Amino acid sequence: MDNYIEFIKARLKKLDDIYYRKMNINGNNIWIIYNESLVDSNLVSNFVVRSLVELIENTDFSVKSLKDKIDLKLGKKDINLENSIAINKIKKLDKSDTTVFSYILSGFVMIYINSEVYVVEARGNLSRSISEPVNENSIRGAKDSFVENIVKNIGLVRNRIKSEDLFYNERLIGTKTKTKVGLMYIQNVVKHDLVEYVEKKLEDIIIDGILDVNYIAEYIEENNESDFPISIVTERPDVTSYYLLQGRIVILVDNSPYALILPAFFEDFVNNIDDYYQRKSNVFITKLIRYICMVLTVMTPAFYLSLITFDQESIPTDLLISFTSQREGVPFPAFVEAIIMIFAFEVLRESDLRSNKISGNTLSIVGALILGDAAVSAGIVSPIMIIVVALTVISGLTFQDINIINALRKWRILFLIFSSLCGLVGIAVASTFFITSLVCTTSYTKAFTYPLAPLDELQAKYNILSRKFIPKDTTREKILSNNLTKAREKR
Amino acid sequence: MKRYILTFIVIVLYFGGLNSVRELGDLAIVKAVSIDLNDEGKYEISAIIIDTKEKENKDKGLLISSVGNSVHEAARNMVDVSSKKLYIAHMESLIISEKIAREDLENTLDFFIRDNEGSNSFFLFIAKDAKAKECLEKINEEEIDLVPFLKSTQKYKGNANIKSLNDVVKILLEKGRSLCVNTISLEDNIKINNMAYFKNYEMIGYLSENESITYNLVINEVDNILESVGEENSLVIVEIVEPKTKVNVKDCNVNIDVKGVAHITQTGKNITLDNIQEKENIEIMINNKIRDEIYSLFDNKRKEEVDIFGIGNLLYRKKNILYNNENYLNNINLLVNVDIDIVNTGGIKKAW
Repeated sequence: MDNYIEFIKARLKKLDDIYYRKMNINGNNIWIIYNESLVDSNLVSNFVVRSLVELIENTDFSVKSLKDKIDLKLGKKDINLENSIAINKIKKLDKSDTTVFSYILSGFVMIYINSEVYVVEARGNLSRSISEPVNENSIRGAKDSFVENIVKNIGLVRNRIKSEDLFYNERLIGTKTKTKVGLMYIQNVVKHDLVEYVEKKLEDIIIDGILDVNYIAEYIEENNESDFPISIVTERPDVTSYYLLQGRIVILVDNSPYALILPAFFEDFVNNIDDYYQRKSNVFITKLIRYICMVLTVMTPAFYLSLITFDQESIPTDLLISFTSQREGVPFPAFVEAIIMIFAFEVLRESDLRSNKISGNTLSIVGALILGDAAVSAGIVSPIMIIVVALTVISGLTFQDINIINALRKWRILFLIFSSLCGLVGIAVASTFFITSLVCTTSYTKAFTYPLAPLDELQAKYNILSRKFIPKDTTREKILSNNLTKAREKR
Repeated sequence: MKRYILTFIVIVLYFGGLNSVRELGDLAIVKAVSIDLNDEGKYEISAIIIDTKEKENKDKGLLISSVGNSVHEAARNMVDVSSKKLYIAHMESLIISEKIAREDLENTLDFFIRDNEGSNSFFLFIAKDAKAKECLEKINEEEIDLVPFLKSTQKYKGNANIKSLNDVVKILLEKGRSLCVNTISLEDNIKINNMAYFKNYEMIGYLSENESITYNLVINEVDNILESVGEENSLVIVEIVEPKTKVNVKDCNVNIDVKGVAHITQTGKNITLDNIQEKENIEIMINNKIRDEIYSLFDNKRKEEVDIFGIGNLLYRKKNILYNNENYLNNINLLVNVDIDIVNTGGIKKAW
């Protein structure tokens, strides 16, 4: 046996899923080595093996002179494998090159022939097919979503932006996982200092494995202490393309069906791309509802608590009577009652998220029964508290990003504590902290609360409560791009 | 995290003083209060407490009462009969007896004005010809809501106005203005009666129904009023909708201008309403009638030295020379100008 093959076998000794095949065609010893789990065996037999056999046999018969024949057998003449195998990706490697192992372990077939090493791609299809987005619903938008295969994901974006200006550069990160991490941006739109910043941060990553886009996000974000997400994570290619066209940067990670988009502003989490797929004049109310929901989901329990424990004067008399008679017989102070209900809901949500779908439904019913009816008749909580928590939760569901939901949850509890201390004054104080926290957050050197602070009146007018009329939307946002005019080619 | 702990401590230290937690279960929500002055000179306070325990007959409240040497003392003595703290911020009405109105209104209202808990947006009533407590008992028994009752009386009849305690106190403190307060009387049932009028802090007497309406018309507190002229076959009844009154003072002349539109709601047999002359005659009759009523109300009260329309206050505001004259009521010249337009006959037949 050849020394080189022994060397390979020694290195891959404990990997039982590696398949070794030795062929002898016309006296030529050929080794084919590949990983069974990653390789499509049809490709290997139909294209690799068949091509090799044909090559050697043809070579053999077509050789006219005896000398050539002898040279070939002795390995003195090259077999041009690169021209002969009917597979697109083929590479000749040096014998001393250790990257051969990573090729084998990423779905390539190694061919050892005439003391030469070739790797041929014959990846099996391990990724699922493109399906509908799971977490981000869309009424009128495209129904495709990213999958775990980065090549497919790039394709989904390129399918939408067919421009040579859409740059994509890829690097392998992770000493063990060697994950493909791709950086995507439109070259003449994006701000280049941002690209340089991200590239430098990506260079500096030293980690053994990248499993999700969030691994990358935590490396390249500059202030990780903020409660609010400073980059958008989406599973929709149309959203990704929308942000790319604005001049944002997209990071794709192999094996993760999500794209990381940066920078992000607070309004991005409230706004939705679906607004652009619907009639403009109705967008105002939709957006207004979302902003009201944001306030409701943060403040409702705190507001209720301060009303019934501090500022009873502010409630209409009939409502106060109704509150009082509902609270009659509840043994806990209102604050404890609120904490119990919010905790119960959070437990329900967490278990619903983690459990499998079959028991999840059962859990929901049990949870709804406990929260809705049994707790009230047992006298642990008052019905009005259930309304309050339900309102809070339902308003919170208008947001899609899990990070923003969690951030708002944290602030909801902070607001509750402040209001339990000093009522409406407490809410005012907590609001100050909330706004301060929002304003202090920066997303990759850009202000998180743009366009409200720093105020960009024109953008604020469009982004916060309405949207631009698409035919008149000819400019890009200054904060994201230096190339302000959208190119409009005339027919 | 340190930051949050620090701010939390700061909040507790600095805002702890604002802490006035009141659990709902600890409050006795008071709906209405009555105050009587008994013969021994002691105050008797009664209060309807809204019963928040869940049961069938929910509207009926709990009536408790206590006695004390002052209003505050009597209110304190409520502790003897109620396990919870009385909470008066949602109080709707305060009923005081006629005796208090005649003798000691100032000290009685003082308690409510000084208390920082109440919003003082409740309505003040004087119990006419009955003990205030009896009225309160009746209100509790019959489950009467005085506030909508008062509002509909003000809106459709005009012999009551909706001035809250704050407004009443404001009028009481203003110079040259006489206070009029709504009254209730206890006949078979509770009835919102005509208004009582005050001079300084003391109640003098009651206005008649027409006088009450006229008073409210002049101070711009009526929404719509009925007015009738003529008798039997030539009877005309009109509804005056949202009349507006302006009072102007110039030197010693006081002008009261009433303007408004009216609909004819009922006519006698002789009224045909087929020519414009007839309509104008009716207008003149109505204008004259209202004018006479204003004149007579003013003159009657002038005799008792009561400035019912608050003209003294106007003089004071305009820095009129007459105000310093104690006898200013006798020196002014009242001119009333009423201009009511009939815009609608309301009949089936075609009119003028």
